[in-house]
Amino acid sequence: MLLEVSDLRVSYGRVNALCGVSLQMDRHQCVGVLGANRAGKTTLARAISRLVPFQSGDIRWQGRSTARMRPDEVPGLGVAHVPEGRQIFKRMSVEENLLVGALTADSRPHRAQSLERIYALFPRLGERKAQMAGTLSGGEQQMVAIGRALMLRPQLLILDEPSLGLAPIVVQEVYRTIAAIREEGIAILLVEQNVALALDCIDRGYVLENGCVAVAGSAAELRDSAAVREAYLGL
Amino acid sequence: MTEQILQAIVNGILIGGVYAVLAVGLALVFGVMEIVNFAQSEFVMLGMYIAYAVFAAVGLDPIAAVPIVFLAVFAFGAAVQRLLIQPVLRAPMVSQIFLTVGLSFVLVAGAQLLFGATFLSVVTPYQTAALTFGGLQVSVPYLLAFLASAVMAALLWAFLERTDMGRAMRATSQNRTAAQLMGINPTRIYMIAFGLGTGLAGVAGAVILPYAYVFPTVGHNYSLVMFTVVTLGGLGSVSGAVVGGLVVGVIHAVSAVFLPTQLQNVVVFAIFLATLLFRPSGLLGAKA
Repeated sequence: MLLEVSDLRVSYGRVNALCGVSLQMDRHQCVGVLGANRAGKTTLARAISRLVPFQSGDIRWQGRSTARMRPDEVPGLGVAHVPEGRQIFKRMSVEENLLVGALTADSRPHRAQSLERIYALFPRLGERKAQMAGTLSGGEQQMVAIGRALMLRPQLLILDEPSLGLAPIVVQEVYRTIAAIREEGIAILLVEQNVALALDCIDRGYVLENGCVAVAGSAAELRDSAAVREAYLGL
Repeated sequence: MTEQILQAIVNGILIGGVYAVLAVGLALVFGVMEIVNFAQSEFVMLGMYIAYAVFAAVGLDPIAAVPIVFLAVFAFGAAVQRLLIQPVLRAPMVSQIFLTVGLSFVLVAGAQLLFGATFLSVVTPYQTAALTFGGLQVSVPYLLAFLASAVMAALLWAFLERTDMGRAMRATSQNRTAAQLMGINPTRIYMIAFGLGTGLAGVAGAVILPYAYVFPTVGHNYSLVMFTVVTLGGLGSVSGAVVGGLVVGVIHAVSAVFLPTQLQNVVVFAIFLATLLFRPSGLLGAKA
């Protein structure tokens, strides 16, 4: 087991954000965390990265609990997180953004190859490597955010709403990239509110509602589930 | 008259270089952790005393002692950050102001305790030396202070732009959470940034020692200038602080040609207020 989240409870003050969520994923898998806005998807992603504390339950990475880790220790495990809203370093060049992505002991020595790899995956970033990242289009900024995370040479890539706020044609491009990243054998935890879009790309999915897992199963099972069809696919 | 003004401009640039290094430290600390260090000018005093102590003990020239002074003040500043500033980083701004202002009192009182209230100075062979270019005179101690400051500024630039740690520091100042997701420990970055900021102030103190007296409250002479410089340059902007330092240095020196010396600080005050009124985000318009 690569990642195991068990009975995770997170609350902000008196508001319950997660009500005992469990999730498992294996190597090379693409797992979706699906559901509407405010269902707790981002909270789950941020809990895995240790950006939010949890009240009970546990998160295990390759069998080892990460409960007592600081957020800046998590990337060292091989977990890269592309946060919601991209959060790139706007007043740094594209290349500098990428370089900051490879600061851990495992990724730093491979930094030159990683850069080449990212520029091959996103030729447009190669053309604009000296440009200030904040001046790029939304789609290009998303590529910087994904590229920066890949610089870590992660075993797990957490993608939080990678399509949010992008034009449909750019969304397709982002999803083609996600498919290419999967091909490389990197496990992906995909947080997505566009359930139809995500179902084409995931092996298994967890549908969150009000902080709890409402439905879980393989992509095919979710597609066949009456609840999912009605609530998220509009069928 | 033209010659007098030219001379004043030269003097102003030489002093302005030191102001720049002074203010860069303040700007860096604010840019990275959004703390205004009201004790910054006391670290200038600290640097002067350390340079003085080194001079008194082994006769080392204050300019040559810059690396020692920098390391000593860096270490002290980093410790101050870890033990005093870190706990109030998320506290209301009022607590942060009280803390750094209180720290400045403690440092002044500590210097009084250790060194007494007397004015101390060093004796260097070049103290009164000057170079002449055409009709312009360049005082050697001022020139050396300027050159040392320029080297410090260049080193800081190289650190911020060309090293992993420098990039990590800029990343943290732009987006703390994203920086954490890159494996950067903000607490460590804050410690180093504060050490650097205060270390630079200490260096400014060391390089002016060949032409300035040191006494416990000497920092007060520089705090007005320093805050004017960072306001002018845009609080939190490192390049703005360098430009602001040179501008204030030149204005300071040129105003002395037209006004009695006692009114020099009035001009600096006027720039400070005018900046706040008309360009609150600074000359370069950089938003912190």
